[in-house]
Parts: sequence; structure tokens; C-alpha cells
Amino acid sequence: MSDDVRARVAALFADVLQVEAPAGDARRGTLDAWDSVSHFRLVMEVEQAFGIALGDAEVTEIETLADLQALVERKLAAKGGA
Amino acid sequence: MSAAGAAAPRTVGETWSASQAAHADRVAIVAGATRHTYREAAARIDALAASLAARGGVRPGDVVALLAPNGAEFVIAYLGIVTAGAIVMPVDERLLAGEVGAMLRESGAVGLILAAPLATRVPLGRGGFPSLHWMLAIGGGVAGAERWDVWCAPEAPSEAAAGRPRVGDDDIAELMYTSGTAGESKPVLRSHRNVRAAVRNATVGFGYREGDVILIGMPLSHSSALNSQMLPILALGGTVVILERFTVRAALDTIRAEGVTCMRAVPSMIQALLASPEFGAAGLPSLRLIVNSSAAIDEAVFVALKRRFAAIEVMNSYGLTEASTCTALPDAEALARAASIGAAIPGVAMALRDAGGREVAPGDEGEIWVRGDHVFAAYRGRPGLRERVVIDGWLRTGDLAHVDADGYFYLHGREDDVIDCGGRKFAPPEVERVILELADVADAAVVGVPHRMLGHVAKAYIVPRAGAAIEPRAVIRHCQSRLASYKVPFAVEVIAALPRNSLGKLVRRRLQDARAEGDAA
Repeated sequence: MSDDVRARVAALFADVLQVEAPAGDARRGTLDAWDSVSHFRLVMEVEQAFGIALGDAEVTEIETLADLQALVERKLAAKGGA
Repeated sequence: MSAAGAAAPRTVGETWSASQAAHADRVAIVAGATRHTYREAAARIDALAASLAARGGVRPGDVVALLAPNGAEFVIAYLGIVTAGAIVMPVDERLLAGEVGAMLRESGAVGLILAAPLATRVPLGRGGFPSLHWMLAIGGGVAGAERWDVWCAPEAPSEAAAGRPRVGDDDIAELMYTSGTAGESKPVLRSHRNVRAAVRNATVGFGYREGDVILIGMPLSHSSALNSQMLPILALGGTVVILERFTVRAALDTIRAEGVTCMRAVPSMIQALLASPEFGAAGLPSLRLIVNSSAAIDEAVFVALKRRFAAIEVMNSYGLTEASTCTALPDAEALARAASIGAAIPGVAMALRDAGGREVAPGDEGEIWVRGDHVFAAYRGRPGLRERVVIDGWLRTGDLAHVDADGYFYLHGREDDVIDCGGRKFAPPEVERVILELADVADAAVVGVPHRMLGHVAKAYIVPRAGAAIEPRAVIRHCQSRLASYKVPFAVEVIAALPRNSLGKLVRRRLQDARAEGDAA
């Protein structure tokens, strides 16, 4: 189930930022497409796709794709879904 | 052009009076089956002016509202009111009763000339308009209204002949409400000097000639049709040919039947006309001048228009209610600078300035500032408001543009429309143009919507072509491939039609209002 969530987040990440096969350590600041505005676009699409709400502090702490995947998993677990 | 022995005209009424004396036997107005020579029109106008004073008690400086569709009566009423020394307030016939009521109340109009079929637009009763003393109904009976035919009968009162009201060039001729495309609609007062300067700008800028026959398919209640079409042609002894309602069929038939030489049209009319193969130089040999009006025209449409009419003059222009007709893009530049709104017309000063009022370099974006005799006199009943937008004689238009090295201006959008996304600003038309590259998109508008972290982000409203399905994600991806990330819409909503006013101008505010209501839900 977790692998599935991670794969879905990775697919959204690739689609929103228009990058191919992102690695989990893809990092803000090193990936041109992942700027401050597209970061919020990514967050919005993840929220809509998974039906979750990410807090402002949580959003600003995301530095890598792996961070985002982990955050989504936590949110889904807290919702009792996933 | 002045009548023999008369002083040079200083007011709109005097300009008309001089022209009608010089061109008495020419046809002044054609509207459907109605045709009036200058002499015939002048007889009605003089009778109406006299009746306004004698029967309506109208004095110089009073506001008289005019709610009528395009027609000969509109022209006669307009000129009758200004000849009486009063202020004419044209009311857009598409407004709803509540909007008409608000204008009547705020303006303090003493009288209302209205077309009988539009009587339902006037929310009378319960003493809602204490200043309104009379109504005059055109084309039928309206309860409590005087009869147009009686007030305009040439044998009606002769007081006018005995002595015209004393009106100077700084007295107010028109009260025009702004279209409200950028925000709240504002009551703009234009003096006789302002109106005459606007008429001069149009005549010089577009090269109107004595005896021109102009087709007016735009609403006469709007600034462009009045000050840059009807009045310049009447001052030159030409003929105004009026369409009550614009349709492609009516326009084409009328151009042919009346030998129309020039026309101004809004972009949506031009697009509709271009869809007809009959709209071309071969079938319309009398046409010598076409000028875009009142809204920014898509560059591709403008080029298509010029290519369709290679041998005649095709022009673009820019103006606003507060300063009618500022620029002209001459025909010689129509293809070379098709995206431009033109250069300042001689007699108009234009500059591009930054937020601190400093002039920006050619190529850089700045706000258009305008100076000239056509810049409006005041906002009625809004003390201090003009002083906020007119500084040392320069009108801050709120429109953003850049200018090239040769003085041609290129409009970017309204300053009020600018979207500030995380501190980076951009104007919606740039994004709209990119969205319109998609084959399935018929129309598009972009507005700023609040974002909890970035301040504002773009939202696109899209009208699909007939039979096409729009996938919002595909629109966003297309924008991502063409625009900086901060300009890319965060949301895309498909709608049936964009809110446009009667001039075809996008009313962005309505999209923002709709969004606000949606957000509240």
C-alpha cells in the first residue's frame, strides 16, 4: 500500500514538474522545475489527489520527493485510509 | 466651416449649428427607413432644445438622461440636450433596472428621454427619483411621460431662436459612466472643450474627410460611437448611418446600400464580419477606412483584417472614457506593428511612467499617462477622486504598456488586473494569449485568485470551441511549456461564455465576483 502511495506521489511529482523518473532524493533548489511557485502547485495537486490538507509549516519543510512521500503517508494514516 | 458671420464654434452645440448651416441639404442621418438632411435634423434639434427649456424647465448645467437604442432619435436627443446647454447622460440600454435607477439617482437628472420599449428599465414609483421632473417617451405612450413628437415638432416653441443659453467651452457637455471593466463604474464629466478635443483627435488621427459616410453599429450610448464617430462626421458634413442592432447581414447590406466609406467596430464585430466571405474589398468597394475600437484586438485578427482589405486603410486606436481617442496606428504600420495600439495623435501627450511617476525607458513596462484637452473635467459627486488620477494635468490611465523606439505603444493590460504571485507581477493577457494557442479553446480569461502563501495565483476561465472538450490539466501543462511558473494558472474552469460588456470588452471583475461567491460556498 505504501509503495503504491509513494508511486502515486512520484507520478504526480513528475507530471506537475514535468520531469522524468524522479529519484526520491530529488531536492528543491537543485531541480530547476521545482521552484517556490511550482512547489505550491505540487502541494495543491497532491492535496486534491489524496483528499488531504497539508499545513503551512509542513509544506515549507518539504525538501525532497521522499519528504513529500513520507508526509502523504503520515496524513493518510492519520485519516485512517491509505 | 462656420456659418457666415458667426464666431468660431466653442461648444458642441455651436459646432453642430455651424455644420448644419453649411451643409443644410446633405443627408446627416440614416437609420433604417429614416433619413434626415442637416436642415431637417436641425429643425427637430432646435425644437427639442426649445421644448427642453420651455416645457421641461431645463437650465444650463442640468443633467438630462437619454435611454434609447441606436436610431435617428438618439442623435436628435443628444444634440438637442447639448444645444439647450444641458448635460447629456447617455444610458446603456443593456443595463438592468437597478443599474439605471442608481445612475438616475446619483446623477440628479432632471429629465429622462427614453424609448418607450425600454420603459421597463426605469424603476419608477415610490418617489425614487426626487430630482426627475419629467419623462419624454420616444415611439409610443408611457404612463406619465410627455410625447416626443410634440416636443420635437418644428412648430413647437420658438424661444430657442430668441436666445440660446450661454454656455462656454469649460461647461459640461456629457456625463458618461465608465464601463466598469476595471472596477467600480465612475461618472465622468466631459466639458465642451473635452468633447471637441476628442472629436478633433479622431478627425486628425483617423483622417476623416468631408462627406464621409460612417456606419455606426456600436452603441451610441458609448464614448467611442459618440465622440469618435458620430460627432466628427457630423462636424464634417458627412452622413452617419446607424444600425439599431449590429448583425453581419445588416452591416454588409447597409455598407453596400448607403455607400459607407468608413466604420469603427469592436473586435468581436470584426471577428464576426471576417467569418463572412462577403466582408472583403471586392464586395464592398465604397469602404476606405476601418478602425478597431474600444477593446484590444487580437493581433492575428487584426492582421487577417488588414490582409482582407489590403488596399484600404485599416487602423487601430486606444482611448478611455476619461480621455477619448489618444492614439492611432496608421495603415502603413498595420502589418509591421500589428500588435501596437499606435502612436500618440498630434495634440495628445503620452508617457510611460513607473509607480514613482518617473518615465521608463523604451521597451520597459510602464503605466500610460495622458495629457491633452480631451482629458475629462471631473467625476460627478466624487470630490477628490479626479485629483487621485490626474497629476499636474497628466491622467494616470491604469493601463500598462511599453513603447518602442519610434513611439508606438503596445498594451499589456490594466494595472488593476496585474497578478502579484509571490512578489512577481504579470498581466493576464500574456497568459490568455498562450491559452488561446490551443486549438480547442475559443475564448479565455485569466484572473488572480487569493493563495494562502503566494498572495495571488492565476486562474483561467476557458470557453471551448463547439464540440470540443477541454482537459484542465492539458491547459496547465501547455502553459508550463510556454510561461514562467508564476504565470501558469493554478486552476482552470470551463465555462459557456465570458462576461463581456456591450462593447465586447471582458468584464474581469465579474469573474472575480463569481470566484469570490464560489470561494464563500
